[in-house]
Amino acid sequence: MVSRRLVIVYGVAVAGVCGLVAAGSYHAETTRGLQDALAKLHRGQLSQAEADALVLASRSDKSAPRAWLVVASARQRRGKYAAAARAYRNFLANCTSPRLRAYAGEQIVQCTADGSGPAPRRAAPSKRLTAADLAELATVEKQMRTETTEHFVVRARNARLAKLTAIEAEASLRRICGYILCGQAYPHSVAITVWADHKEYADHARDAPEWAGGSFTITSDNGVATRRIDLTQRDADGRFDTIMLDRVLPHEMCHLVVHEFFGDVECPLVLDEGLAMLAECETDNARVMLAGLVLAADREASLDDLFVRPRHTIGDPAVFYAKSFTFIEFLRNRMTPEQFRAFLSYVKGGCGIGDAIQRAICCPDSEQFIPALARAWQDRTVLQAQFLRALADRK
Amino acid sequence: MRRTITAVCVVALLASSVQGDRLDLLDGRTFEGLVSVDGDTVTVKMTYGTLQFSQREVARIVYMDTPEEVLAKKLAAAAPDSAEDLFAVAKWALDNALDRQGKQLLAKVITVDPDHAEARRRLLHARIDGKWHAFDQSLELARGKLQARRYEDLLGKVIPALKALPLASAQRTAVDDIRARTYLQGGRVDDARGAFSALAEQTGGLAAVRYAAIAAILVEYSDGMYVVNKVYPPQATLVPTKNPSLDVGPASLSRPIVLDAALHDRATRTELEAGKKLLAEARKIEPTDPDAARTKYALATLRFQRADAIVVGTRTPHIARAWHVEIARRRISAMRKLVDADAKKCDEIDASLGRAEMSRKDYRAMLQRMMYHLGSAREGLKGILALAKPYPRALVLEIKWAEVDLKKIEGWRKVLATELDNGK
Repeated sequence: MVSRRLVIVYGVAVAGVCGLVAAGSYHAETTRGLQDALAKLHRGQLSQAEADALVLASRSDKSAPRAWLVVASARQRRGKYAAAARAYRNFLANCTSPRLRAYAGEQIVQCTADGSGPAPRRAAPSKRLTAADLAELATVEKQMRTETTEHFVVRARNARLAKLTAIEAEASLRRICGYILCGQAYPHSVAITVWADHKEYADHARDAPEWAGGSFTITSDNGVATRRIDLTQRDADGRFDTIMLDRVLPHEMCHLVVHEFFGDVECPLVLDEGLAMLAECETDNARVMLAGLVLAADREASLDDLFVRPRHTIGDPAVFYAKSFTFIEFLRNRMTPEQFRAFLSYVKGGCGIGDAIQRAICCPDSEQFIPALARAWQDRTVLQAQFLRALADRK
Repeated sequence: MRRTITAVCVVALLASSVQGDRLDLLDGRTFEGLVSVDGDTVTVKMTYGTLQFSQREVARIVYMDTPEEVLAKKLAAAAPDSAEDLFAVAKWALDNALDRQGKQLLAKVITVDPDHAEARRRLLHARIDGKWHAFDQSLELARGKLQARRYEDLLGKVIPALKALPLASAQRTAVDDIRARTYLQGGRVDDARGAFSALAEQTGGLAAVRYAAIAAILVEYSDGMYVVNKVYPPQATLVPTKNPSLDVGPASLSRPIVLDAALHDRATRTELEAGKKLLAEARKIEPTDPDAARTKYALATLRFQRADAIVVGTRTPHIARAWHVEIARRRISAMRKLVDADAKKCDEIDASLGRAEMSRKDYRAMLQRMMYHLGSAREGLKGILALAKPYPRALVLEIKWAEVDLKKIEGWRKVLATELDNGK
């Protein structure tokens, strides 16, 4: 009886040890298989990497769910976006890591975007208007018409213009808060008034610069903040001023939103103006051409000078604006939304622009960084200007 | 009545543990060390301190040969062409704290017998690929083999040869570091995890933080596959780099750049974020509770040091430098307020002088108060300079202001000191 028990105990122990050894070797085999697939992925042998990883990922015991990531990555690099998204979803179904879930989610969005080709860019308002529309929008009625949306109360002496301005204002705000300020909320209401012409604008608008066709103000009275944007409907020749919708409205709105984002802290001019120009409905190619021309002639141009330049010391505003736009556009284009938002937060916290960039991307503090950044920005801007010049010559 | 001191010279040719002279006291105590007599005082210098006695307490002094003298006699007795004789003398020298001479003798041993294994071992020479290499050279060779992906060679021959040497702690860590990397780069993730964990335990301080971080990464990604979620190095998105960068996607931790990316991500997500949070809290409470703020700054500094320790040796070192600068700037700003308060008090005293009649004693007392405040301000400024000096570029203004003010204060102190001296 005792010896039989001993045999059973012995048998169970042996089975346990064998099980452990088998599990260990199985884990080692999976690791080896995954490492081989990763090596192939690294070498660019994408279909082989996909096939190897697929074998691991498709095991009935689901012992290597992370192999789906290799499958997905290989498919994504081969341009098979729909299949890649499917593989990412298979991975998500067995994923316990929040970090990896976030990664897979981002990649699915990326695959969907890449798979459907470049998103059609919304044309500037002026491009969507016919001659009849322009004529109608140039009409000035006696009464002020009001149009209200979630964020705006628009007043204009033209009912259609009030409606159009309100729609464009919401679209601009979405672009500014979404793309430029990377998800910044704007839970406020803004009063927009479109004055009939420059004279009426100058007479009524608050703090209106003589040369400007639009401006923004934020005032506080008994703790109640009033946000206001003043615009002009018609140009000097009495025609509807399309620039108002294309550029002035988003430009001034961006100043307003950035001003509120920064609060009491003064936003560096290069950033304030750069962001405002970035908010405009279409890129002004003349600015890129000018910046490219200037930077090609002055390869030693310093970024430090651009970062701290106050408004009253600007010698040539057009050049300064062109440089500001291309630099901020360069940053926004190269940084991830999280990095760009962190960059803005650091500037808001009192960091210099160079310091804020380095902190936002978590790169090592180095004296060579800003000069290298300047060279990268100059090279890109000059290249873009050359491309635009080539296009213009072809036409 | 004085006792006669007997000096006995003993030639201890065969002594294996010569300590120096021996001093016997009348009360029965005995000390060994270097004994010298100066007038009525007898001094004995020992390894851990020096004692002095009056000659009246001494029973006798026994002078012995110094270890150098013993060594010279041993060497004279040894056959110069006998590796074993020379090695015996070298061993004796090393055992008796004559390291330099011992190593020179070991070098002689290997000129007589280049394959004298024990002499080579004591010189930290390792035999790799049939050739003897000094330790540093062996380590470089091992690093070369690691780069060349000769993992079997490293694990089978080189590392065992190095591990067999009587290494110091730092040298052992260097060898174990190469072994752990060899495991990882060779795809032996489990062995690598164990090796890095052991390194974290055997090293101390910030080096342990780095090894523990690697071990933790290998626990989290036990199959050796890491998922890169940002381009690495991060500056590659803005600035073109000469070295290859790493794109987003799954990658094997066996590639050094992937491990660097994982360490950067870990340092950023854990230590840097925690440090930033502490910094924000300190900033918030600083006006109302400066002591608690100082503690939070210290804790934040610790976090930033840990972040830097994790990424040391990677393509992105010193990621927390900007935050160290910010802490220094904030602490300087707080210290500046105290300096300004001292300067203000000094100015007030200065303004009150000459306005009313006062006795010589009161005048001196006022000058001494001014001197006290200037001294306090000077200490504050020195503290500011000490804080700012590691970051001369970022804190150039703080350094300049402190230097200018310090110069002014020194001038003032000189004037006050003269005035106080004249009044004596």
